[in-house]
Amino acid sequence: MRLKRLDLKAFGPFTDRKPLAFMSRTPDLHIIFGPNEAGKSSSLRALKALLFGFPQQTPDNFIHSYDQLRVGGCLENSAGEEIAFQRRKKRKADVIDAAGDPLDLDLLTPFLHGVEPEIFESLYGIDHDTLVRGGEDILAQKGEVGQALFAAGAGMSSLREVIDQLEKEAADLFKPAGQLPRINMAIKRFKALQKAVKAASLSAKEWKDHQAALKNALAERAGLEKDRDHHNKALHRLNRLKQAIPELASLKSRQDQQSALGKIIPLPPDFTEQYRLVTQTMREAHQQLQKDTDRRKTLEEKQKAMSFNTDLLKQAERVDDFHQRLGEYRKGQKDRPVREGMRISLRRDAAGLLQQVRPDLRLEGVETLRPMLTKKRIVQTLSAQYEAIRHQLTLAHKQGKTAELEQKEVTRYRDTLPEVKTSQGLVQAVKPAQKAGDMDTHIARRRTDIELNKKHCRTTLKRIGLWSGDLSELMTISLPRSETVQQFETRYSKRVEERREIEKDRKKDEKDLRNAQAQIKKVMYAGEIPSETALAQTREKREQGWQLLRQQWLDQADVTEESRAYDPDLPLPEAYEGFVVQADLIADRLRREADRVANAAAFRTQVETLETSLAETIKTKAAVDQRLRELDDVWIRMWEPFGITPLSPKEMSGWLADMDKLRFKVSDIVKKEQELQRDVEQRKMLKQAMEKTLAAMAEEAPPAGDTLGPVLILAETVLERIAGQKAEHEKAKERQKKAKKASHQATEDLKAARDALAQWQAQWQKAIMGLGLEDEVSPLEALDLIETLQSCFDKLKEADDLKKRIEGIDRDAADLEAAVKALLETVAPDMLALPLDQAILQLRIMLNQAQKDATLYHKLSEELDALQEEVTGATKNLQDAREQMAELLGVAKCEKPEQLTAVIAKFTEYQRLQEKISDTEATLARIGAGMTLEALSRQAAEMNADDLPGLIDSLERDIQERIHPEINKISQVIGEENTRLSAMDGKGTAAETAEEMEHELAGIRRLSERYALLKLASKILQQAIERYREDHQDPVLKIAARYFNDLTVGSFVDLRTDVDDKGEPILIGVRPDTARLTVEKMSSGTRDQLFLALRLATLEWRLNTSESMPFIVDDILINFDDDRSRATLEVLADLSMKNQVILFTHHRQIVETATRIKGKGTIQIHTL
Amino acid sequence: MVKFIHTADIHLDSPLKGLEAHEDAPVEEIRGATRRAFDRLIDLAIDTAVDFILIAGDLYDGDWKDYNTGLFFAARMGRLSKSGIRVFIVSGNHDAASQITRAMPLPDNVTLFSHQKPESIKLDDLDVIIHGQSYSSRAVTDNLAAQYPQQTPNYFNIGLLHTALTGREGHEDYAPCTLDDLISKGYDYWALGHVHKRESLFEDPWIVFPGNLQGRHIKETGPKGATVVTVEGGQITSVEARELDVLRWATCQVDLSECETAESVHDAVRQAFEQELDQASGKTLALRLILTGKCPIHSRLLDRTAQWTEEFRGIAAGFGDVWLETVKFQTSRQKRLEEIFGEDTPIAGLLQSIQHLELDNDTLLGLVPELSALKNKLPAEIHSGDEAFLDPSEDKIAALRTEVQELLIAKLLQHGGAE
Repeated sequence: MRLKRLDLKAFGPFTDRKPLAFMSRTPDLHIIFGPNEAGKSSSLRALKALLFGFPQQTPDNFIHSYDQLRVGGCLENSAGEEIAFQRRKKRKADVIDAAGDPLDLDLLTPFLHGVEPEIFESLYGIDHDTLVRGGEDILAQKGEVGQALFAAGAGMSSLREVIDQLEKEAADLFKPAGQLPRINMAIKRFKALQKAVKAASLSAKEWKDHQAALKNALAERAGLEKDRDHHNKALHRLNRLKQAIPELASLKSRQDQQSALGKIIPLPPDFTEQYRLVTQTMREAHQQLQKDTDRRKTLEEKQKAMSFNTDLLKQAERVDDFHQRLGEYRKGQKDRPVREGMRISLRRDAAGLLQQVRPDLRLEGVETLRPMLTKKRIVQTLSAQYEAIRHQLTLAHKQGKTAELEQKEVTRYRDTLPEVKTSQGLVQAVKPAQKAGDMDTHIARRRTDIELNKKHCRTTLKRIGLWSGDLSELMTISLPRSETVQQFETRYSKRVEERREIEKDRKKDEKDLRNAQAQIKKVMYAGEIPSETALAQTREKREQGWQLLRQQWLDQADVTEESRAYDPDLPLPEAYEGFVVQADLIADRLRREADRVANAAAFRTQVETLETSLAETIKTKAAVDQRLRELDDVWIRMWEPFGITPLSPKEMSGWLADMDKLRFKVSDIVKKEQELQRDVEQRKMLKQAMEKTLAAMAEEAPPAGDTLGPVLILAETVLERIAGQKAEHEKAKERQKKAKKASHQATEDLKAARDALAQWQAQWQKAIMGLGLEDEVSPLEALDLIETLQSCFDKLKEADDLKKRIEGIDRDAADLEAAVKALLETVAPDMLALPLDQAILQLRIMLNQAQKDATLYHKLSEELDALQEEVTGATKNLQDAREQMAELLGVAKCEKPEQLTAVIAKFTEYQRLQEKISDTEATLARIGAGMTLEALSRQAAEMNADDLPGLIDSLERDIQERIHPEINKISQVIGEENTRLSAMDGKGTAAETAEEMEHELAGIRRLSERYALLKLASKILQQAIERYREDHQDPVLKIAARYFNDLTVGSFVDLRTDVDDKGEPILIGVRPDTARLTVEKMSSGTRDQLFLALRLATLEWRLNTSESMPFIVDDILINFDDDRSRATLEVLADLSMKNQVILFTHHRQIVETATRIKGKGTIQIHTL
Repeated sequence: MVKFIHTADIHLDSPLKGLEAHEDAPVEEIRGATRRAFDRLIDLAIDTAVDFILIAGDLYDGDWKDYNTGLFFAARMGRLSKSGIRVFIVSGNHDAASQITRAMPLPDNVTLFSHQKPESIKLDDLDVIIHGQSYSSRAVTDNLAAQYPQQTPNYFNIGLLHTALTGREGHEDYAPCTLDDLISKGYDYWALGHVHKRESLFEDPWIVFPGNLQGRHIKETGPKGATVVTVEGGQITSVEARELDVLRWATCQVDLSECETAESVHDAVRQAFEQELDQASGKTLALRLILTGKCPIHSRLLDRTAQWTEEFRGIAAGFGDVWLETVKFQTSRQKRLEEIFGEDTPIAGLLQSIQHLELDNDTLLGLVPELSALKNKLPAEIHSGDEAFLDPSEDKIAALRTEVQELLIAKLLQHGGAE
């Protein structure tokens, strides 16, 4: 299949682009050149979209939306069939005809042969990346032949990657001796889980054993516990008696003591306590009264002895005030001389400053100058204005001068400029010439074109032959019409047909005749055919013999002579007999072989008929030949006027068609010649018009000759020059205008500045008038004077402030002294003579002493009041206690308090014994545990107390040493069994672990299957590679060697196989000097070419069995040097003789190289 | 009114098979699934206050030895006992093989039928009589039903039997009998067990396989549970299947014919998962994903199956309660390979050699010696069961051949500069 047209209707940057037409008889090499952005990649995608439909996403929708995308084209297959169709971007029905109606996809099958887009790209497409990767892969597999061939044959760049991937994935899954691959690890985990399940599982036997053990232990423990309980009961009884016996004895003894006490006066329970309290209260009240009386006496004496200054105490606040003011007073006395000194110094400074401003004025008159201070701002403002006005003045002067200079300069420059010529006429002459374009080239090309065409026509005429003459003559001769020739052809063919028919008849007749003769011969060979004639002859002979015999026998005639004549050899009777037999024989045979006879007769008749027919046919043929000759004559005569000896009418028909074509071409040439003539005339006219105008403008004469170019160039140069001069003039004029304007502006500015100065000076005079200065002063000087005056006033103010402060100090001191004196006169007249500060301090000390004494006096008074209250309380307490004592004596039936002690002691002893008896009875009740006192006493009486310890000890030992240890032991067993059994709670640990095992197992299963698959795939692939190598190594390598030689421009003359260290077959390049290079030693570019050679070789090899498809080459020459680029293009051109090659490129260099190469195929360049 | 539950083939504590753990798999949701399903059965019995439960064999799994399983069962029987629910069991082939069955003392409310001859137990309070016989050994090939007594008049007659009837696909042909054998006994209800798929074979009398309680591998798809039967006045008024499974097994076939991009494949798979989940009544799903169809990106799928599987697992994880069991890549390319590769190309040669390759076990091990090493290391379990490793059966070999071919073609196409 090959591509005949690619129609970029709406795709990428293209909108109804002119179709790329791949028209040629051979498949050819087509170079599609597009610089960057021209749409080279888009058109490559368009080509694939045309063949296989649009992919789901495409970057080519930046102008046309998806539903607008269209690409069209025309394909031709090896059977010469063509199909034109378009593709749109749709999932179904994307193939449409020119009218937009969907086409059946099957229509494409005879062209695409079911090739998938991926396969197409890998088998019939190569780009730079694939090439480079292919080259790298050859290196990586060290030129291993199988892989190189297989990869190239499958259109793959990296087969090694596939094998590596398979092997790597497999190795990640499993290694026979590995630990880390996934399957190895999973198996390890699986085994661990298996162990865990076993550990977590519980066997039925184990459970049953533990159940039985528990049951036994429980029974045993119950028996032991029964023993223990029995022992304990006996022990309890013995222990009870052991405790009861001493208690019973003690009870008896106390009951006896109680009866010995005799009659008792019962006392209330708190009687003793009450007695103790009353006695104590009375004693304490007595002691208190004595103590208080002594203390009061002492205090009263102390108070009487005290005295203090009451007047001073009343004046305490004033004394404190004096003390506070004393600090201030002292500071004032210290500061006063310092301030006075400062005041005098300030006034001296002020006088000095005034001297600077007005030496004529004294300090006392300074106040007349104070109004000047208010003018300070005005003076400052004016001072600033003065600077600005001065600057304006200077600037205006300078600008005026510059403007004047510029004016003079421009005037001088304008005078030097040349005069400008008028160009209107020349412009009018030049414009038509420019519009006409490059007429010289156009005419020259057209002329060459015509000459070429003429030459071509002449050659064609010669090739057509039969007629010679001039081309112009060709146009005038009137050759026979093709219809006439057609008629002749018909007639000829009719005649020839007739003759052929006759000839056919003749041949048939001859054949039939030969057949018939052969049949006759066949019959004859089978023995002579008996004929009626022979029978008649024999019968006549027999009759003759009979007659002779009859003559001899009946007539006794001598028939010797006749007999001899009848039969020279035999005597008559035998001869006659012979004829009789013969006649019978013939007659028999005639009857017997009637069929054969009839056949023979029929063949004979046929032969006769055929012979007549044949003679007839030959005659007819002669007549037909005659007519043919006559037709020949007419035919040849018809061509005589043109001096042509004609060939057959059919050939002449072709000849006439060629001639017609030629004549059409010649007429085209004539037409072109006429157009050329018109162009030449037009050029002449244009040239003359320009020359005339130039002459009129007195410009230099243009160069002689027919061509328009030089004159046009001259005219354009003149026009440019004039335009330049005009511009110069305009520029100068503009400059002059500007200079004048600047000069005027400068004059205006100067005037304005002067006015401002005058106005300023008036204001200045007014401002400094008050200073009373006699001389002129500058603004800065005036400002200084005002500043000095300000300082003078400031100092004077400071001096005044100080004076006021001194006066304040004096006033305060006088006030204090007066107040102190007044106080002293009332409270301490003896201290009036003391200095003020000492008097104040002394007063302060006296006041402190007086205050302390007063406080003490008050405290003593308070204490005396409290003592009086205590005495009253104690007296009352004593009285209450005496009344209570009387009550107590009544209860105890005593008369005196002294008797009370004995009564109380007796009652207390009785009570003590009663308590002990109750306690003992309670103890016995407890020991008896429900047994009555009497029963207990009875049991105790029955038991010998000395046997008790022995009995108790024996029982206790049996419990402690035998029963308890055994119970403990068996309880431990029970505990253990219970723990075991409670752990056997039907938990699902084992089952859950088993589930985890299944998870692992599922993983192992999946990974193992994957592993098997990968390993198997890898093995099979390697085998297939090896098989492919065995089958294809020789033929494909042979082709590849040729390509490699061509692509490397003879750097390598051959490609061989060799074996490497491991015995694997590898590729070797052979140098012209027979040096052998492995792929590692080749440059990377050469390896790329090796890969390309292999690809091309497999492509060529495939052509033997498969339909060809366009080979799409995408810019693979980027890294090839010039020689190898050219060589590659030549190789592709050669290949294109058999298989269409379409090369896409961005590089003009490649296009240029392609136009120069000498390949076998035709090269077409298409520029986007 | 009498109400009872008919269940069978519980296979307590037998693990779920074929689920490969992976990150985000809902491991907790399916842990102890047979136990949890059994617990649901107990809850159902107590909640609906049934009178008794019939277990028609295969309570335990034959190979399972952990006695904890029996203890678990006993504990659950204790719960039933407290609610006054009786339990009647015939042992099946698995129980006969189980060590637990023999060792387990049965609580008072549980009756295990004799394995020597058919027994009939009357429940006079309910006017019900139950006939049954346990398996004496793992493989019972006699027609047990034949020896069952004829119906007892004035009672509701139930036949309890573990049988494969006249044979059921995927189940051993034990205690064979015909429907006519059963019908001829004149019982009201035949409670059968052994077949894991629920099946109601006849309605007068009712003959029912309740199916197993919890599906345990990908061949046991669909809802699983027990059958609740209500009898009023000696007549069956309802036979109701109740779903009790914890985890639902399903195969999910997705046609990728229309998918041209990875996104569209993801979308199709996600949609299929959603549909399956809708049908799973909110249960956790174990899904087998089968990708089919003449698919435009067939090669891309086959080139990186592991990566795709991870992506599908990611989608499953997104739903939270879906466990992707396996992914079967069964898509095909749009054209036949022979059409694509023509005659004398290396790949065409490769295809031919794959087609002509003998793949029986010996050849395989000869071709890839590493496989012997692998086989020796693998656990024994991998070589048994429905999907044994390197199974030499004809369809497996054909499948392996296709897989090898598709893998290689995919790899070669993906690295042929086509992408």
